[in-house]
This record gives sequence, structure tokens and C-alpha cells, in this order.
Amino acid sequence: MGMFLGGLLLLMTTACSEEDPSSTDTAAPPGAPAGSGGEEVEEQTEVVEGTEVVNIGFSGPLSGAGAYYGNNTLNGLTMAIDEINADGGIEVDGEMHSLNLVSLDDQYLPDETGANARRLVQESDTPVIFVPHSGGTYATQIFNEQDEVLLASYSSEPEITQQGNDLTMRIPPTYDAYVEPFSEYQMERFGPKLSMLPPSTEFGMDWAEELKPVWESLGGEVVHEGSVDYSMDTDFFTVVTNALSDDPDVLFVGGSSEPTAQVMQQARELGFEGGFLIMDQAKLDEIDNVLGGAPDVIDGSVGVAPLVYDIHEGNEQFIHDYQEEHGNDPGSEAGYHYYAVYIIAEAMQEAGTVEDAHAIRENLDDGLHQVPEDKRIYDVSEVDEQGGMTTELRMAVVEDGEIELVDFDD
Amino acid sequence: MSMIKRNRIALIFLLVALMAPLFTDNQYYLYIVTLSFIWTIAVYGMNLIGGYTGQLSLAHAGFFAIGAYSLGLLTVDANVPYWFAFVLACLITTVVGFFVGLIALRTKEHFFAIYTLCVGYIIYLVIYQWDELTGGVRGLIGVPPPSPIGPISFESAESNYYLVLAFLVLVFVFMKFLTESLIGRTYVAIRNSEELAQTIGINTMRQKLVSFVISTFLAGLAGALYASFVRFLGPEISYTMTTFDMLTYLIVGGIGTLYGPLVGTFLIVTITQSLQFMEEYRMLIFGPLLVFLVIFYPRGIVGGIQMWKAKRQFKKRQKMKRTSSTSTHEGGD
Repeated sequence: MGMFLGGLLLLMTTACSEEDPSSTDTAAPPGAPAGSGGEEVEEQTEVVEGTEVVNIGFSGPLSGAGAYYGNNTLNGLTMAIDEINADGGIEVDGEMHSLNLVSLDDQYLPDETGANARRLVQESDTPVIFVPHSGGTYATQIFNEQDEVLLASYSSEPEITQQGNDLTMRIPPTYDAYVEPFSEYQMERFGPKLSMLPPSTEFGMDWAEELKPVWESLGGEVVHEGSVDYSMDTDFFTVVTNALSDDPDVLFVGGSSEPTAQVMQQARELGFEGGFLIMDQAKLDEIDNVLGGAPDVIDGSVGVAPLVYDIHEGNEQFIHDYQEEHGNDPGSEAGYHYYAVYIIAEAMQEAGTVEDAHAIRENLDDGLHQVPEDKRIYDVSEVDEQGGMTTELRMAVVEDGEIELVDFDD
Repeated sequence: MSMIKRNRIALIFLLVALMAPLFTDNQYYLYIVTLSFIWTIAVYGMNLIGGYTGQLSLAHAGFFAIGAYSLGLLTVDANVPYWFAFVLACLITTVVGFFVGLIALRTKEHFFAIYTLCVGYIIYLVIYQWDELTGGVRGLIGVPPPSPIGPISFESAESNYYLVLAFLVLVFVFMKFLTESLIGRTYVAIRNSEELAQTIGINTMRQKLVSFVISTFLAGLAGALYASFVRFLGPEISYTMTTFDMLTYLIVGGIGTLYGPLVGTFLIVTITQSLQFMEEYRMLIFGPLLVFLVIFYPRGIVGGIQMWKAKRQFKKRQKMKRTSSTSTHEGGD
């Protein structure tokens, strides 16, 4: 009994000990700022000997249902930080600094993100924290201005930058940018009747809410409004049958690529011959891979441009390195996070500080334009005044079984 | 003086809790401890109906969420002043608890647990699906912090900590008086044997209902505090897993004991944080730990300590008895 209690007390003491975390840091070199790294937090990157260490925080889903997504985002961060450190780090105000990634798992739960973000600030003194979901972003926005930490959010929810948080950076484009071009293309190609079957997630609901008025304003008609819960359902025949009952021309689907592929396949098996309008979470190339190459299923789809179908000077090396390191194609989560690290690193150099989050935030746009040509994964024109990255978008369409990229202007 | 002596453990707890923010400016520690205090209040509610009255309610996360969402909706959408909304949130939860209890308490034991599990799941579904009201999967954003009371504002982590601590102290004192009163003994009598309690004239249905309603009030109170502390609400707080988390805190700490919710919640919340690097593999530690406790210490850590103390006192008494009988015997010679 005594031993058992002792063990529990020991764990409790460990959890609440006031010891300086840097004293147990194996990764941080001598001279690292106090509070850099820590025994209880995970570190993925190697820092450069003899440089000051700047901790970059991350709180995302690394276990549970969102682990695959969370790890993809983390892969992009890790690759960028490793590359920057391999090149000797960054020179800020005449002094060399290397970056160290400190990641924590929040299982997609906003209160866990809130706890993690506070922990990252307190124990690792992170000037920047990456959060790849909107719930966690909102939970962190409650205190990030007060604690003066830059929040780099991977969420296409427009509201995160519209509510006037001075220390938020939105990495991906907002989803509303896709709605009109996707709708115009599919209505012209297949017809005006739309059936909506988004995932019953925050993102899916937001997309549906944005899509419906746009579709109707273009002269279309929404014949079915349903949703599918990927966390509960494993067979989609019932919901897909309902969605197809009014003979739609276009079916709106989305969510993770794997279940989206199944929904699309089942729709085809039920005789659907129209087009798919796919929200920006699922990727056409991944859907094609899940289905083992099924051009007849994905034909007539419109979705976001997969990174590997949009190879140019800026992302060629990244795609090659990613494939070599991870054995699969990088998605936009990895690509955008990779790019964002470079933008922030350049912004730190422009601002002449690795600590002042306000100065870093003010120099993000200048930092963006300093990113080397071969690291510009996407065609980002600016980081706007609200902190959102403005990306020149293209969409992917499937015609005759082939994925092709189309500029929005076309 | 004897009162202080009798309550010395509680006073030590209180003293440590009051002093804690003076020794650390680490906002993360304060956040975690404050969160554990909020869960403790909810677990006290579960302890009252499950531990003392013997009716295991598995709708507790649902009532917690009703309290949280009531406060959130009243302040965000209806612009009701914070403290008025706070009181209303507790009242709404209590009223819902009363009506649920009226029906649920017609069932017993396993059936009561299954029935309340279903009620909890229905509450979750309502929050999840009724997105016009609750925001559904999007959640509820921008719940305000508690309004200032006179010159005291609750913007900082320290002030939030002391506010939640004050509520926890009130709940602890209330639970202490309740469980040591005749009503508390009535609950224990119902737990031990409902039939026997009826034969001695206890209106068991009424007492169980009162206990259930108080437990939902405490869940609602904790939910309202949670809403204004985290300031973002998602439907996952009402999910059955949250109920089972609370049950774990209670079992580890000690079901049917006064200190159990306090010890169990604090330990599990802090251990969960300290083992965060293990991600989902944390369950490899919690699973066997729980099995070990249920087998060897079914009344948890606090129950185990009480049992150990009781045995020690019993042995001491036996020893004293033997000594006095020996000396009496020697005297008789």
C-alpha cells in the first residue's frame, strides 16, 4: 500500500515539480535560453551546437481518430526545421539560432489544446505555436495575445482571422474561396440539382452553409441536405441512397479521403452518373489511391489541387524529399506547414527578434517575400493585415479519368 | 480546537491550495489545477448519488454539459449578465435533473445505470445535432469570463484559480455537512439496503430524488465554471467518455468517501498531463492501475487508507483490551 501510494505521489510530484525544464533537456545545447525544451515534452528535431535555441510549439491530434492528419502536419514542420538547422540555423540580430520543435498531443480536444498551449509557453517559452484545428485555435486565441505568443493556425475557417486577434496567422486559404468556382464548374458541366452529403464535422457543416446560398444564387437547386458521420457509420448505403433519391446532378461530399472515397464508390454503385463536388479536406489523388485507381468513380469530380499534381520549382525538392523520407506523397497539410516555418523563420530575421511575437507577426509579409524560391511550395502572394496567407488557388477536375488542374480564372 | 484537529487534513489541503499561486507563476500549472478543481466539483456530484446513495448515474457528463451550454448560450446569445446566467445555468440543470430523476429513479441498479447512460447519450445527441441552438459540432465560441465582483476581476489565471477554489471549498463543506448529517446517513442506509431503509420509515424515492437533484446541481455548477474558464464549448464534453473519465477519478480516489473525488481527480488529471508524451499508450498505465484498485482497493485510495487506519485502530484496541485484561487478571491474583 505504502509503495503504491509512494508511486502515485512520485508521479504527482513529477507532474507539478517546479524544476527548470532546461536542466533535463538533452537536445538543447549549453547556452540555450532558460526553459527551452523539457523532459516531459517530445522533441523531434536536432538543434545546432553552439547556437541559441528557439522552441517552436505544436499542439495537434497525435493520437486518436485525427492522428493521421496530425502527424501529416507535424511531418511538414519537422522537415522544414531539420532543413533550416542543417543549413546552420537562422541569423537574428547578429546571432545564430537553431529551431527546436516541441510537440504535444491534444487529441483534437480544445481544452487540451488550451492546456498544451499554456504548457508550451510556460515550459518551453515558445514564441510561436502551431495549432492545426479550429477548435484548438479558438481555445488558444483566448490568451495568446495576453501571453504574447504567435498562433499559427492551420484552419480554413475565415472567422479565426476576422475576429481581430493581433497574433494569429492563418496558414491555408479560407474555404469560402473554393465554393464559387467549384459550383460554377459543376453546374455548367452536370446541371443545377445539388444533393449535399457533407461530413457531420464542424468543417463539413461550415462548407455546406457556405455552399447552399452560392449554389442557389447561381440558379441551382439544393434537392437534399443530409450529412454523414464518419466516426459512427461504416456503411454509407442508406445515407447515399437518401442523397440520390431526388436524382441530383451533383453530389457534394468530403471529409477525410478514405471514407469520402467509399461514399463516392457507393454512389456510383447505386447508379449515380453526375459529378462530385469535393470539399477541400479530401484529396483527389488520395481518393484515387484508396480506390486503387478507379477513373470511372472519380470522373466528373472537382476538388482542391493535389500538391503532387502541381509540381514546380518551389515544391519539387520538397515533394521528392518527403516521398523519400515518408514513403508517400505529401498532402497540403505537410506542404503548408513546411512553408509556414520558412515564412516565420524569415520573419524572425526581418524583425530582428526571436521572442517578440508582435514584431514577428508584423514582419510575416516581408518574411514571405524572403523565402527562397525553391521553398515556395504554394503561390502565396501575401500575408494580409489580418494574418491570413493569400494563396493563388487552382482547382483539380477529373475529365476522361485524368486529374487536371484549372486556374480559377479559367 | 478539537474541530481544527478533526479537520486538519482538509485545512492542510486548503492552506496548500491557498498558497500554491504564491509559489509559482506558471500559468500552465494553475490552468491544470483549476481544471482539476472544476472536475472535482462534478465528481462530488457523482459521488453523492453513486457513492453515498448507491445509484450509479451515467448521465453526469450530460448534466455537466447542460450547465456549461446554459451559461454559454445565456451569455453569448441572450446577453444575460454573467452572474445571473450562472445562477440560471445551475437552476436549469437542476430542473432537468429533477424531471430525469423522477423517471430514472423508478429503475434500480443496473437498469438505472443503463437508463441514465441513455439519457446522457440523448443529451449528447441533442447538443451535437441541434446546431441552430448549440452550434453543433462547431461548438460555442466566445463564452465570457466571470464578471468582476466589486473590485475583483477574473481575467487572470490566479483570480480564476481562487474563484474555482472558493466554489470547491463551498462544495466540500456542503458535502461534509450533508454526508455527516442525518440525511447523509439516510443515503448510506439506502445504499446498503433500500428495503431495510423502507422498513425503518425512510421515503427512499424522495431521498434518492433529492440526492440525484443535488448531484445534477453540482454537475451543472462545474459545467458553468468550465464554460467560463475554457471559454469554448464543444459537444464532446457531454459524451459518455467524459462520464467514464469522472467515474475513473471517483473510483481511483475512493467512491463513497469525502476526500475521494479530491484525491482521485487531482491525481489522474496531473498524471495524465505528466504522461502526455505517451499519447494513447497512457492507457497501458491507467488500465492495469484501475484493475488493481478495483480488485484490491474497491473503495479507492482514500477508502484504502481509511480501511488501513480502521484496522490499525482495531488492533490497537484489541491490544489495549488484552493488556488491561492481563493486568486485571494479575491484580486479581
